[in-house]
Amino acid sequence: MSSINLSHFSFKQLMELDACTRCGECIKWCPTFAEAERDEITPLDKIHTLRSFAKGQYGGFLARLFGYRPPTEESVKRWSRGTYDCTLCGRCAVVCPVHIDTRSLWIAMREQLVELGSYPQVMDTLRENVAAHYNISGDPAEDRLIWSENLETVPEGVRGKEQAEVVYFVGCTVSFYPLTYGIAQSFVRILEKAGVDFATMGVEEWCCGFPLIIAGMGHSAKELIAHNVAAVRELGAKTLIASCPSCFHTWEHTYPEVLGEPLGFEVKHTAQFLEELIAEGRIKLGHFDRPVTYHDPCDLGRTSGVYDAPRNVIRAIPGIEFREMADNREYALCCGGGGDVEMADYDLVAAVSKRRLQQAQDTGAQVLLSACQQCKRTLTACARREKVRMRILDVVELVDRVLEE
Amino acid sequence: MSRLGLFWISHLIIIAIALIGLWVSVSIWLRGKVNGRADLSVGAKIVALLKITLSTIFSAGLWPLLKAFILDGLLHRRLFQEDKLRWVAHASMFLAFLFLGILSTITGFFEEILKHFLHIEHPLVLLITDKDTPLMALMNEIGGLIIIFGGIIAAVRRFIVRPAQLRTTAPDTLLIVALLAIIVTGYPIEAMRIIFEDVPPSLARYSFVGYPLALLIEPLNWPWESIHFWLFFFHVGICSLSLLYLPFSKFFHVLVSPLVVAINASNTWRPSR
Repeated sequence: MSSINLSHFSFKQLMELDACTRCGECIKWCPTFAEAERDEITPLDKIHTLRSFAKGQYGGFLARLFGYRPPTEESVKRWSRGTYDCTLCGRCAVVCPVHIDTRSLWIAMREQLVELGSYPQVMDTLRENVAAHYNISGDPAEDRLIWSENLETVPEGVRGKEQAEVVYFVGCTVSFYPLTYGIAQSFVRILEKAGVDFATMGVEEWCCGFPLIIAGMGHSAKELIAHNVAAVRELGAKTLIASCPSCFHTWEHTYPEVLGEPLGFEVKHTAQFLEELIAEGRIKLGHFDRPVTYHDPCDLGRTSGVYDAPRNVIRAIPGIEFREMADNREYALCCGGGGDVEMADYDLVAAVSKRRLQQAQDTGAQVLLSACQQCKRTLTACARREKVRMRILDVVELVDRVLEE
Repeated sequence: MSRLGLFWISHLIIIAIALIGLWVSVSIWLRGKVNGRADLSVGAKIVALLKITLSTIFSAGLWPLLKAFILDGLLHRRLFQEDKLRWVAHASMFLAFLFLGILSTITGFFEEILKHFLHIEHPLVLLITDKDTPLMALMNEIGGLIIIFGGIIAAVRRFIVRPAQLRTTAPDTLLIVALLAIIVTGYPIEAMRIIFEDVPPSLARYSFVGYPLALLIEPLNWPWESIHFWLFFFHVGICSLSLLYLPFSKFFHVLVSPLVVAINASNTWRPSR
C-alpha cells in the first residue's frame, strides 16, 4: 500500500481539495481530456483522488465511515497517469468557479508521485540529461551556442562579454532544437540593430529548471537556479530577457521564491522587451500585409499574465491584419506542448495541437504567431503532419523580418 | 426522558461528532506547508497562519480579499459569467439556505437562551421568536420556496439534462435529496403548528404555503402536536446529519470555497498585468 506525504502540499492546497464543488466546469475546458476522454485526466478526478487518499489515510474512523480509503498501488498508478497527461495549461484555473489554483496543485501532485516512484520513467532521462549536460536535450553543454553558428555576423554579445546591461537567456529549446534556432537568431539581430548592450551566458547558461520543477523534481533544480543567478549577477546585468515563457516565469517567480531574496535585476519576456523598443522608437518596423493570428503561450498568458505585450508588438507592424482565434487570452487553448507530456505521450500532444491549429486556420490567417519556442515546435510539427499551409513564427521572428535598417 | 431532552441530547451528540469531523479535515490541512515549511509543529503552523491572517487584515491587501470573498466567494461572479442558469440554481439554494440558516440560528438563540433560559421579555425578543409575525412567516416561506426552486433546477440538470461534464455519484444524489427533504418537511411542520397552536387565520395566512396545507390536513383530525414533534425531530435530524457529513461531503465547499477564493485573491504574485 502506498503512503501519501502531505508535506508536498501547502495548507492552502489541501484546503483547495475541500473547496472543489465537483461542478465539472474544468472538464469542459481541459484540452487533454477533450482528446483522450479518460476520466483520470480531469482536474475534478485528480482533486478527488487526492482528497480521498488524504482523508482515507489521515481521517481516521470517521473518514472510513464515509467511504474514504488510503491509496492502493493501482489507484496511485491511475492518479499518476492523469497527473502526467496534463499539459499544465492552467485553463481549469481560469474557469473554476471557486478559483482553485490548479496548476500549482498539479505540480505538487507530481512531486508526491515522484516520491512514490509512480511517474513516467522517461522523466529520469530528463533529470539525467540536465544533471550531466545542464540542458534537457542531452547535447553537450559546449554546444549551447550552436544556434548562432550560421548567423551572418555573430554579435559581440553572443561571442561573450564580461559585463552587459541586458542578458539574453536563450533557453534549452532554442539552443538545441534546430526548428527554433531562428528565434534566437532573430532576437540577437534585433538587439544588435537597436544598439542594446547585451550578452548571452554561453556555456554558463544552464537549464532554468522549469522542466524538472513541473516534472515534480523541483529539488533537482536548486543547483541550476543558484548557478544561473550567480552567472547573471556576475555579468552585472540590470535586465534578463527570456524568449521562452516557461524560463521567463521560472526566473520571475520561482527563482526569488527558491532563493528567498529578490534577484536584483528585472526579468522580461522578449515580447515585453520588443514592445519597449518599439515604443521608444529604437527599432522601426516595415510593412507586412498578410493576415496573422496569435496563439497565447500558456506560461506567458495564463501563468504570467502577459497578454497585451505580444499583441501590441504585432499591431505596431504597419499594414498587418491581426485576427484573434476563437479561444484567446486567458481562454486560449493549449498547443499541447506543455507539461512534459510530449515526453510520455506524444500522440496526445499531436491531438491537442491539431485542435489548436484548426482554430488558427478558422481565422483565415496565413501566419500563426506565438511567443514561445515550444509552441512553435509543437504547432509546426502539427502543420507538417497535417499538411497545413500555414507559416508558424515567433513574434520575434516576424519583427526581425519587417525590421527596417 | 422527555421528548425535548431526547431531542437535545441526540442533536448535541451529532453536533459534537460533526465538530470532530471538522477538526479531522483541518488537521489534514495542517499537515501541509505553511510559509513553505512542512517541518513546523501543528501549534507553530497555527500561529504562523494567525500571523498571516492578522497581517493581511491590517494591510492594503484586505480590500481585494474582501471584494473577492463577497463577489466571488459568496455571489459567485465567475459562475454568473459562465452559466446564468447554473448561477440561478446555485444562488437560490446557497443564498436562501444561508439566509434561513442565519434566521433559524438567531431565532433559536432568542427562543431557547434569551426567552426561556434568561426570561427576557423584550419586544425584540418577542418579535423574533413569534413565528406568526408577517415578516417572519413570509421570510421562512419565501426562503424555502427559493431553495426548492434552485433544487429542482439542480436535480433536472443533474438527472434529466445530464451535461457531459457532470459526474454524478451516490453522495451527490444524497445531498440533493437531503437538502430538498429539509426544506420540503418544513411546510407540513408549519401547517401542523398552525393547527395545534390554533393560529388565527389573520396571522396564519402569511404562511402562504403552510396555511393552505393546514386547511387541507386539519379535517384528518390526527394528533398534530405529536406528529409535529416527530416530523420536526426528523427535519432537524437531517439538518444535523448533514452537518455531521459536511466535512466529508462536497458540501464542505460551502464553508471552504469562499475562504480559498479570498486567499487566492490575496496572493500577490498571481497574474495581474
